[in-house]
Amino acid sequence: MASTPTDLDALVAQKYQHGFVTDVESDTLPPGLDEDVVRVISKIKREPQFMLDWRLQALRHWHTMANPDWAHLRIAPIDYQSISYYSAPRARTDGPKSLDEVDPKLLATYEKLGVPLHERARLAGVAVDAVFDSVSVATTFKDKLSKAGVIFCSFSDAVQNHPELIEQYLGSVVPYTDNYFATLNSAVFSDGSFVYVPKGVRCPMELSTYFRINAANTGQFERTLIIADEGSHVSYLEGCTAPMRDENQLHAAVVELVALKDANIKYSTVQNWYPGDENGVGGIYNFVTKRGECRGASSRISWTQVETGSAITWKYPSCVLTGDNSVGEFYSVALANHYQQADTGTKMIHIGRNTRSTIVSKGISAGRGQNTYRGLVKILPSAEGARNFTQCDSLLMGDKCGAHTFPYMEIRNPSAVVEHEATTSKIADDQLFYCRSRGVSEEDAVNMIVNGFCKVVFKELPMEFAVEAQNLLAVSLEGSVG
Amino acid sequence: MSATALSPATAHYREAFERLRPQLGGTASRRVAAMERFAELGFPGAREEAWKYTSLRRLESRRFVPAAPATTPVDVPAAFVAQRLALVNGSPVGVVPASLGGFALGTLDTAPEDQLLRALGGGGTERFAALNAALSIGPLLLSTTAGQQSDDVLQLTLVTTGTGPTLASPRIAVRMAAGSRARLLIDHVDDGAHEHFTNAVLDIELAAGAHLTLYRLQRQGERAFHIERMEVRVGEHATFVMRDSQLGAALARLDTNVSLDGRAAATEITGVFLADGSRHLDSHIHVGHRAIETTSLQDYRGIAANKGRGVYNGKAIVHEGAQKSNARQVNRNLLLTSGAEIDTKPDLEIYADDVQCSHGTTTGQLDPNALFYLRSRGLSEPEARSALTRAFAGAVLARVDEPALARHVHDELDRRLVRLLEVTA
Repeated sequence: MASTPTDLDALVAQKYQHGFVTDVESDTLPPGLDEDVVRVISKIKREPQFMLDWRLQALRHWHTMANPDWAHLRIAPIDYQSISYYSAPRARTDGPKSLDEVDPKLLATYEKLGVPLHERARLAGVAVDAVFDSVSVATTFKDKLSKAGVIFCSFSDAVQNHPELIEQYLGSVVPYTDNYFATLNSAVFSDGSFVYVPKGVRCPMELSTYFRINAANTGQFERTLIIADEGSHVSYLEGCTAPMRDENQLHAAVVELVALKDANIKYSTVQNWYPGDENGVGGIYNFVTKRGECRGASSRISWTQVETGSAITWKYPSCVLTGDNSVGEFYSVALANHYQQADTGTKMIHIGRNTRSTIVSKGISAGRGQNTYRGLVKILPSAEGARNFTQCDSLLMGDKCGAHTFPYMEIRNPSAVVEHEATTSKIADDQLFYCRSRGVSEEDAVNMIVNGFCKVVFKELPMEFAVEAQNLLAVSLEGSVG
Repeated sequence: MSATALSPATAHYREAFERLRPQLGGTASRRVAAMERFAELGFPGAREEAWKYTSLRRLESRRFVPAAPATTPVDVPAAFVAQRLALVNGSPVGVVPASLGGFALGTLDTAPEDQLLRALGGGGTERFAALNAALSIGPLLLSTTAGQQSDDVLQLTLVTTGTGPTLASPRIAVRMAAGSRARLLIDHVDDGAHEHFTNAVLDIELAAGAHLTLYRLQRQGERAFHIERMEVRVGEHATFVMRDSQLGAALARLDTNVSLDGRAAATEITGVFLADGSRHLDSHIHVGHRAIETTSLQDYRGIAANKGRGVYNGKAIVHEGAQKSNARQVNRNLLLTSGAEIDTKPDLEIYADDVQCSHGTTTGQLDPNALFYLRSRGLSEPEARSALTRAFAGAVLARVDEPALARHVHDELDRRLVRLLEVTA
């Protein structure tokens, strides 16, 4: 499997497919971060006092914190004062009443991305709450959802219409003191999604949001809160693409999930932010705090992620298993090509009795990519009969990339069983040879083997995402094997 | 660095060093530089990653008196093998023979000092290696000649003793010449009379084709603090084997750093630990694959009970270019009672693609089916549990091919397990 110049050329020629900038007029705050900026954001969003107080508390706490340096990442210093903390597409009147009123340029952007908002939503039966920069511009299928009693809206709307739920649950899983990036998010988050599924309701459709960074120099600070009340069931899909840009853009999102008794939350992500070019220039810095709490007995939270984008990924979707018999799951495929760096994994905190968790992580490294799995399994003394199984496998393509595993296991209950296994390997020459001898091209053979490697994760994704994820992986790896 | 910036414990050791200096051999400037390095690094803070699971607050609160050169022999436990040398607080008592058990022996008077007191940088125990270099009173050099083959085992019994809480700083350098083969047994004990602190350093180098088997037994007193740093460099086609048994001390930390420098260098590190009572045993193993075709195996089995805590942090780094390397890590743990804790972290860092690396770790309790089977064959609950626990440790202990030592570890495990299981059954 010798590397030939042709393969390298193909590798270098591989460009980001979703790279373009839409020219939409934006309301953007000047760069910089202080209490006044936070007050302005809160005022623009017409937030109640408790929100402003919470944001200011977070900002004050953030000033006492230091940028974390423990991850296996090389990050150029980030100048937080050079970032603009708010950018909204210009309101034409008082916001669009229907899709017809949405800025046509915005809709065209989604078209280019292959996300025909209304078409896709109608055909696939998916409600889309599209976040363009920082403000939700369109939401569909509201009627059907509201008939079921499901609240699915932008975070701003939820603050206006359901302040009692926000006040009760915001920060209850990821407190504003949690970590550097979550605290920053708490102070300046502009918008995001809010879901509340009432007792006993099975959400009638998959919920989906497309995130997209657009305006130059605006970090995006999303905040998502999903509450599944007793016995309810919801599946949430999140996918991202971003336009090409030379400067690093900061993305620090927070996702909080709350599952009450017998509730079930499935959260799937396909992340394809701009990864930087083949020389490692540009690309998104993606620092995400995702955490779910299985608060009630027999509840279940499942994270599935396919991470192919971003120059830097720093992300640990976690489960706090408080309720007895609750279940946490984490399925991940992370790809690092060119100069991409990913430090991702999960935390499973077992508190309740008979709590169970499963972790399956597949890391693929190519080019000069560095891929790190970092996970924590913590069994507290109260977690009688807890069970964890962790498997993390790494696939290396090329001799300049890296694959790393840092699993932490802290076990304080003798009845717990915790198992961890990890392997690192490359695509074997005999596998490739076999495929080639059956008439499969090398590129297809590699795709097939990689898809096989990731299959156990892809099968956890909702159908339409699974197809997209496979294509994404193939495109991201094009030319990187030889 | 001004004295005011030092923590009280760090200042204490610096003052003690100043008092002891006239009695310490070697080049003064080297000792002073080592002490300065220790003072600069100080004791680890609560947030230092290398000490995440091991707090040294208790150690830092004590004021141990660094040992002066030993003059009188002390009682030492019986030897496991024929050839034995006892070191009291790090230094041999009386005349050191020129050779013993397959090694030529040298001391600070006869051996090159840069081999005996050299600085060992990096890692969480750099500070303690520096403290050791400043205070070590009788560093010993063991060496072989090229091609020398020995089936003997040299036992070094390292005794920490004193009339009050004592800091002993034993330091041993091993230089294996090309193609030589030898075996070494290091036995850590103390007088049990006081709360002692043993801060040991082993500095080992294997030239091309050399083979060293190191048996290690840590059976210090119930109140002892033990910190040890082992630095091993393995040359081309050379092999370093360690068989580790950790049974004693109140708090023990072992950092084993193995660097596979030459082509086809290999290492195999296996061990058992028993963290019962309120014992805290922490093993950090760091294997660096720096050349092609290097292989490593780490296999540790841990048992924790009562308020005991076992920590295992294995790490294999395959550096860029170290193709065709093979790194395996296995860590299995048994939690016998509630109140005990196991923290395990088997890390892999891989920068080459044509490699085979894996790690596996499990933590759990005895298999209820196996227990039920033994009960059905007429064994009592404690007997059944003891048999299964012994079998669990036995899988690794079977590799200890020095019979007297293996028997001792087995007996000690038996004795402690029976007591433990009778209480908890």
